[in-house]
This record gives sequence, structure tokens and C-alpha cells, in this order.
Amino acid sequence: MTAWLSLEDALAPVIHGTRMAIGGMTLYRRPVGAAMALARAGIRDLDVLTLTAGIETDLLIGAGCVRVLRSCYTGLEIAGLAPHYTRAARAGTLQVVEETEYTVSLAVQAGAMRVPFLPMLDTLGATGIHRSRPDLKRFACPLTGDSLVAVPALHVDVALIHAAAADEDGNCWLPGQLALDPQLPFIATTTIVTAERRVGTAELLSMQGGTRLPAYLVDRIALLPGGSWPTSCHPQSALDLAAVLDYVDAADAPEGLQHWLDAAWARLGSHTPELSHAG
Amino acid sequence: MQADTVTTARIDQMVVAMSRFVSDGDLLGEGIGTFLPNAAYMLAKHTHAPRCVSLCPNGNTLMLGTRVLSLGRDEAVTVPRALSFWTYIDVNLSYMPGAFIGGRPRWTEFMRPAQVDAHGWSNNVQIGRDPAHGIRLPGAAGIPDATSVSRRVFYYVPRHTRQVFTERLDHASGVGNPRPGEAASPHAPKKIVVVTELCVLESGDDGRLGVASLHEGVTREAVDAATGFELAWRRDTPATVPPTAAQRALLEREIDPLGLRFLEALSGRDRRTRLRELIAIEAGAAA
Repeated sequence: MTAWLSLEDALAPVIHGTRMAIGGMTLYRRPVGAAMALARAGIRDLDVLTLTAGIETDLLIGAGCVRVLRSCYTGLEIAGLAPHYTRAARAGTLQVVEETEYTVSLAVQAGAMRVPFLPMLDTLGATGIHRSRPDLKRFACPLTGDSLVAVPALHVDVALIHAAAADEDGNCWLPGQLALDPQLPFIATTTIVTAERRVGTAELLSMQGGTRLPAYLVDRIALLPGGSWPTSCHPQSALDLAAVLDYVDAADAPEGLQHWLDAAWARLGSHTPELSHAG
Repeated sequence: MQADTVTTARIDQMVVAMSRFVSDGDLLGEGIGTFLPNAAYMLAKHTHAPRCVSLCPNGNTLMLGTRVLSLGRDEAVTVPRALSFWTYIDVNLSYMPGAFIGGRPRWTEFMRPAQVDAHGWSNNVQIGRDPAHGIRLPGAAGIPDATSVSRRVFYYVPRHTRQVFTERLDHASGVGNPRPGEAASPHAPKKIVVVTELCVLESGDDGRLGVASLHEGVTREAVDAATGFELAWRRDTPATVPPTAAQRALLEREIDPLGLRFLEALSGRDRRTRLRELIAIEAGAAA
């Protein structure tokens, strides 16, 4: 059975150098509160995998926590470029691994299947991706002889996901944008969930779309209302676009990110008083 | 920081021109926060293409019908009315490969490139060849996967400039047609369309982009001056079919009363300022 823990205890497996997959999609149901806690803990050298990276990854980059980022899109949707990602990529302090939707999806699926790779049609040859990704190796199909590309399987130490609701046992409801969340636990040694709400199993079963994340895949869980803010947590809360704009504007000032994070942490602590004492 | 009337008229011309490339029954790929093509899809569904379904990214939901575009409510409006919910494993390993390669359903999606060259190759990864002096862009997402196999590729460019339409890409992430001297594709050149605020570009038999139609009030000189490579021109370039009063009314009343489609003509601080105004307007309307 999944253990309900404090946020700090739930996140204990994330240490310097952890390979971490992040759930959610651009500005939908991202584990922003957990990312803020990792930034406050001064975690370094994270190797982040996420289909698309949004504000949760950008703030980790701005706080100096990330060494490698694998994603096929990193940005803030209509609010524009992710400021700290853009800055760190230019400064050379962040290694960005070029991915496409297919390469990330195939790598995760291969990891789930415990095969070393899955094949992709050899059609990206004229793009720049093979120059930066020597690990995408061509091979001759044993059936047709055609050239294919092997996309290596990915495994991570930790998958970090924000769920809209979870029951006592840790069964999690993932409504709306699923991204790769249902698959991430298959490639993770430890799956950590922050939950917007804790509900009874009967209520969980009545929710639209089913749970999508059974308790046996969830290792550690913390109750964290507001844990995806300012990204959405459908149907509980909509995207707070004004707060995302504040975040982008704050990036222009040297202490801007820290001020934004301090205010955001205080907001999180207003729902979960134990956080305030963590300092 | 509202867009001026020339810009708004040209954006509406883009929306109408884009909607004309949608056929009834197409699977429409909505982008993330891309209100301009989404307005075009809604216009098509309201008029000549009511049986299209959209793959909507704010839930990976398959959506029937139309909706009013909104900044803050779109997830709440779409998710409870979805035909189905997909993970990206479903999208990328089951539903889309066949649609991209061709067949049923016909896939139509307007994507926004940071750079385009004369043969329709695109770049969404990196501006500048040297990372230390360039800009790392958000990334190409699924554009490489789709453009490398699709026979029809659609782009939109709300700001037609020499920075976007460039002789030489800094990095290639979207696949265009073979350049002279490159191994010819086993297929005929793919059809590449780029709708801009000045004109509609389409690739010809040689695979190069040429001007298919000019928007009202735009001259050949203006397009050439804003393009960093030589465009193919026909002897008589037709005018783009302008928006009708009925189409304008649909856009203003039923599809996008807030004018979110105009956001993509703005960038940086100007766009953020306008977004804050729109957030306040939307909150006021909801109250």
C-alpha cells in the first residue's frame, strides 16, 4: 500500500543527480509545488525527462537544479519562451537533448516493455537531430532490409506526478490532459505523487475517465492542494495565466525568480501549514 | 496594446485563407495556445466542414463541434464534452502515424515555424548556429515526425519577415522538399503551404515555394522585400479570396469575440501586456 507522507518525506528519493521524469503537459497539471520544494532543498544535477517542459522545469533550471533536459518542447504556450531555459541553454549550463514527440514516446514505451529499443522509420535523416543524437542508431530491418532507426529505451529513478485526487490506498485520478503520466511509473524505480485532494474510493470511482494510475504503481504520495498552481488542475482549478506572466516578467530582475518562488511557496503553505515551518 | 486595424484585417484574412484548406471530415490538429489556426478550424466547422474532429491539446481530447475560444476556460469547456481521451502513447504510436503518412482520416494541421527556407524546410530548434550567441527555441515537438512522412504540410506565419523566410536555416527540424543536388525523393514533391499575413505560398512542381495568392492591398514588392530568398511568381498572381461579412460576423460573435487570434501578431512584452488586458476582460465578462 502506498504511504501518505509529508511533501518533504515523499520527495526524499530525489537527490543530486537523480534521473527524474516529470508528469503533466506544458501548463496543465504540472507538479509545480514539488518542483519548488526541490528548488528550496538545493537539489543539483537533475537529469529531467518530460515530453514537454513548462514552468515546473523552467523554475528548476532557474534555481540551478537541472543539468540535462530531455523534451520535445520547452515553453510557456501563449506566454512565450521559458526564460530560464532559454538563458541556461545559451550560457551552456544546461544540456538540452533534442527530442521529437515520437522519440520520447518510443523511448518510454521501450522502457515499459523492457526491450532495449523500439524502431522508427528512418525519415529524420535530413533534419539536424542525428547530428546531436548519435544514440539514435540506424539498422537494417531483419524482415525487409529497409533502414530503420533504433530509439533507445529510457529508465528514470523517479517519476513525479501531480494527481487531481487520490484515495486512501493511493489510487490516483488523472483527468484531462494525460500526457505520458499513465506510462511514467513503468519506467521509474520510484513514483512520487502529489495529490490535489484526498477522497474516498467510491468518489474516486465515480470520476470521469477512470483513475489511470492504480495504487500499486504509486510508491509515495503527499497531499498538496494547490500543488499544480499556476498550471491547471482540471476540474479543481484553471490555469492562472496572470501568475505565469508574472513569472516571465520577474525573470528580467536578478532576484525576480526568488521573489516569485517565495510568494508561490507562501501561497502553497496557506493550504498546507506544515510547509511554512519547513522554511 | 491592441493590434492595429491593418493587422487585425490581415489576421482575419489569414484565418479565412487557412479555413479554406480544411475539407469536411478532416482530423484537425489544434496547437498549444495557438488561437489563430484554432479560429480557422472553428470557422471551417461552422461553415463548410462541420464533420471535422479536432485533436485538442488541453486534454488530448477528440472534440466534435465548435466552441468559443477562451484564455482560461478552454479546458473546462472541452474535457467534459470529449469524444475520447488519449495519452501521448496513443497519439504517437497508434493514432497519428497512419494519419501523417496518409489515408484515413485526412490530417490537417497548421504549424508555426521560426524559420522556413525556399524548399519548405523549417526550424523550431535553434536560431543562430552557435548556441552561445543564438537562441534555443522551445523545440519542434511533433513537426519532424509529421513533416518527414506527410505529403501535405501546412504552416502559418503571422509576421512575414526575412528573419523567418531565410535562404539558409540555422537548423532543420521540419522536412521540406529536396533541394537541387540532393537525392530526389521517390515521391513527387510534397505540397507545402505557408499562409502569412501578406500572402499564401505554395510549393510548385520543382518543390520550391511560390506565391499562390496575394492578400488585398499587398504588393509583390512588399512580399519580395520581406522574404530572404527568391520566390517563384506566376504571370498573374490572383488575389486571396477575402473574408465575407458572414465570416467576419462568425469570428467576432461565435468563435473569438475576445480577439485571441490577434495575439500571435504580437511578441514578448507587447503580447504579455495584451494578455493581461484580455485576462481582465475575460474575468469581467464571467463575473
